[in-house]
Amino acid sequence: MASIINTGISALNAFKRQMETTGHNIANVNTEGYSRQRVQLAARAPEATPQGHIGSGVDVAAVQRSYDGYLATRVRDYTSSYEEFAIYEQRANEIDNVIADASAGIDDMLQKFFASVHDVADDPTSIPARSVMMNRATQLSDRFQTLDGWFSNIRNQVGRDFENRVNEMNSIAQSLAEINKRIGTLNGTVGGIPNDMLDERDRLIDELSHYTSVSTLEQTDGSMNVFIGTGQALVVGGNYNTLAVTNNPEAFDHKEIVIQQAGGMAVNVTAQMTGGSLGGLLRFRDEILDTAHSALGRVAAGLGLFFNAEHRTGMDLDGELGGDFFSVAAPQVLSNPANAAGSSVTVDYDDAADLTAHDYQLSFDGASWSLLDLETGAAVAMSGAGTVADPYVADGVSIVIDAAAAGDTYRLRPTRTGASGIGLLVSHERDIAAAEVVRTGADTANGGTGAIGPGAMTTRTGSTTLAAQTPPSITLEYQAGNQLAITGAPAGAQFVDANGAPIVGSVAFVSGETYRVEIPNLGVFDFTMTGAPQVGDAFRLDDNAGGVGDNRNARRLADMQTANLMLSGTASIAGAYGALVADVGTRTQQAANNARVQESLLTQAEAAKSEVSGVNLDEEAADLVRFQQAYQAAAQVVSVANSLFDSLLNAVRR
Amino acid sequence: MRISTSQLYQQGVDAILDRQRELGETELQLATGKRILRPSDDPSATVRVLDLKESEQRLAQFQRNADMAMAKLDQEESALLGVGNLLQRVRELAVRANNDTLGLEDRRAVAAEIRQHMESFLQLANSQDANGEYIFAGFQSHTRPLTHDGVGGFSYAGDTGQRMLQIGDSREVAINDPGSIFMQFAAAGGGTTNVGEVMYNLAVNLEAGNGDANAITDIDTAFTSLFDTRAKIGARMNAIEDQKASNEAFAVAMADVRSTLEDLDYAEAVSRFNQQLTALQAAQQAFIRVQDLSLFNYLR
Repeated sequence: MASIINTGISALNAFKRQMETTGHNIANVNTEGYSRQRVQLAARAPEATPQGHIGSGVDVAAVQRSYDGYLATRVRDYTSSYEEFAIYEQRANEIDNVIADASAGIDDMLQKFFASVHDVADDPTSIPARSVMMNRATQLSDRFQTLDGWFSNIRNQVGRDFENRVNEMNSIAQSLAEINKRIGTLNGTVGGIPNDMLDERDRLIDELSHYTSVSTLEQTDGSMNVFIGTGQALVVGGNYNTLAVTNNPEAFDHKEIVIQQAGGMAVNVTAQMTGGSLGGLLRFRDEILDTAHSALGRVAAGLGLFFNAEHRTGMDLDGELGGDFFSVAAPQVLSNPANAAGSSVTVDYDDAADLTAHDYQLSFDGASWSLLDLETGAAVAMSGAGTVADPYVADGVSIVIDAAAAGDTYRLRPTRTGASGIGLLVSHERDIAAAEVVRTGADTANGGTGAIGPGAMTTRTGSTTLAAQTPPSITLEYQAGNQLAITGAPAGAQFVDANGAPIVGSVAFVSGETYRVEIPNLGVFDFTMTGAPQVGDAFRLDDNAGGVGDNRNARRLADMQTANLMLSGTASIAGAYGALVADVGTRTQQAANNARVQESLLTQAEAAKSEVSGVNLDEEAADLVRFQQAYQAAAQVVSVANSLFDSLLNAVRR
Repeated sequence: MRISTSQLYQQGVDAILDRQRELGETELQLATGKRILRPSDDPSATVRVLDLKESEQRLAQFQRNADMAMAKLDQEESALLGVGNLLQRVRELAVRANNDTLGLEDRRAVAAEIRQHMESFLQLANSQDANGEYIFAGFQSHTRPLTHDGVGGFSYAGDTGQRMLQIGDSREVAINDPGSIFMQFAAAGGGTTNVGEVMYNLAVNLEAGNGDANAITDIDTAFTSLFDTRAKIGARMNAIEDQKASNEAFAVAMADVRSTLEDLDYAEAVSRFNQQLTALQAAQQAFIRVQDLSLFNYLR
């Protein structure tokens, strides 16, 4: 009789546990990271009788959580990949949206600026046209500076994002270490490790996977070691390492991630922080932000340098040599604080066509200097000797070593400050050099059909004002033997070849040929001759004093709009900007596509995990009915046992 | 396969959010009329559009330059026409004055008129444009090009510079001719002479009661030189008209290409919009229906 009651009571207890667990499942239907729990039942050991084994009820064997470690790892991996691309796309979109916008991008203002240069070429003596050109140049510079400031703001924001994420990760690491400790103590005790504690640990690791790639290794004591990025130990048993954001010692605006290990050692793990939103932000910073910022600077520096060089070969309304039109920032050089006292280098632009948007590291090993491209990781060959007379030249910059000691390093960012440094330098409308310094002409008494083209000064060598120089008055006489002979002032004016090497005596006349004359203290003047001159015909190169109506240099300035000056002579100034727009657009597009792919992979992985671990209310409802019915049946068993007992009592009662 | 309640809910919400995002994108396209809303929508087309915009702007600038060139050439041509007309009149006067029957008084009267024409010529040769630039001074456009010393000496202070304006990608046109076209041509009586000098000498000879046998030949030579220049101006004007027409056609073609690259196909977009609207409504309705179903509803 007692055994029936015991059997019934064991069933009542077991079904109550099942209903409790079902209730727990229902209660946690919306709890993140919760794994559905199931009560495992087992038949009690039977009572042995001579007739056989009689069952004696049911026991609660265990409360298990429905959990698949492989599926959980897959969700984490896809979470990291998805978060990486999602934040990358989100940040890239900010830049993507702005750079091609007519009211914020550069191209529209660049067009307006060159249109104003054309207007000066149309009407070189017009002060209003010159004034408009100066305004346009200011507006264009402002546009560069605004974009530059905007890039810097995004960089600051990204720096703060690093901090926030690193703080979150540290707090997760601390919690994980704490849970590990508790699990270590609970391991092997009665009841073992609570399922909900395991769920909490998994949830924390899931959360960590939003910030970076995560891998885990379970220890024999049940604790979990957690590694982040490409395998940096974050939590080992009950201990954890702390992450921190620091400034690069050379470049203070360049944030890096370090991991503080036991013993106070800080190890730079920036390159190892892959995956997750931290990895995505780092990639965004390196691939889009820094590159676009320097590429924008390259457009500004290129415009300034090329425009200045041409402007300096011209003559302004007052008959003076043109000066620099734009101000251009010098290449950024960041010296390592560990460099020897007194060490310094001077970096300047060489050929703006060769400029890249990369950062470089310049280092001295005591015997020789080397230049490393930090983006490609490749060594860059430098020509020259590093002296003032023969500077090192590589990738569009020239480097002069002023003083050095072994171990010195510098970070070079040739174009990073280009956009912030550009501005209008010309202060007066009359200072715009629309004219050429030298004018050409044919003698009116010439008998032949020979003609001399308008010509242009292509290289300026002189630095003094025109008034302080001997005005050019050069005669080119066509002589017997099909030769052109040069005479006149200033002394030393001579024909030179394409490389600037002097040609002694006279040169052969070829119709359609471009000739180059070097005028001392002024520059190199190129002009084309055509037709068939007669012997004795003369052509002249004269001082263009008073030539206010001359627009030759303004036209050369306007022509720079379409000339392929940038990117090793493959792109115009606007083209270099277009390349930046295309680069950001393509990377954003790729990130968006990748984010979509990772999102669907993540959704699938989550579905697979949820298939095992998730709570389904209908299922729980059905279970509830099932357990309730079983409970009622067990209660019936107790009731039957009770009435059996009553019957027996009644039978023996007298 | 099991599906958890929260997943069922999330799926429904995600579906609605996805449909809304697509709908929002199409709505923005319809609102702006642009297919490309940001470079990443189509990076290569974006860069093409930037290039095309630049080319269109340059073409517009070339049209502006061409109009400017046309105005300058118009002014030069009318000045040269004026010089031609007065030379024509002077030639008639020279023919009449060479008639022996003319008395001294009459010759002096003719001479007076010729002097007037000479002054007019000087004025025309020193014509200034709206900006005060001398149109026949070459590059020295702030220097009065032709001067008369009062005793028959005419000198040219300009140079032979020609201002060129760009009216096409590889087309430029001269918008002025130097005043040297009035100077230094071979005189009938040997040596060289110039337009002013011919008139001055004619007047002086007539005032002295003499004829001037060379004047008519010299005036004809001057005519030839002027005709040459005017023919060149006419050719340039034709070239400008040609170029303007070709620029215009080019601009239209480029605007066309740009439109196909960046503009929205409204018919396609509107039908897409309707489709997406239906999809969103379906997702919303499916969500409500699914969420309504629960076994608990039947546990009473």
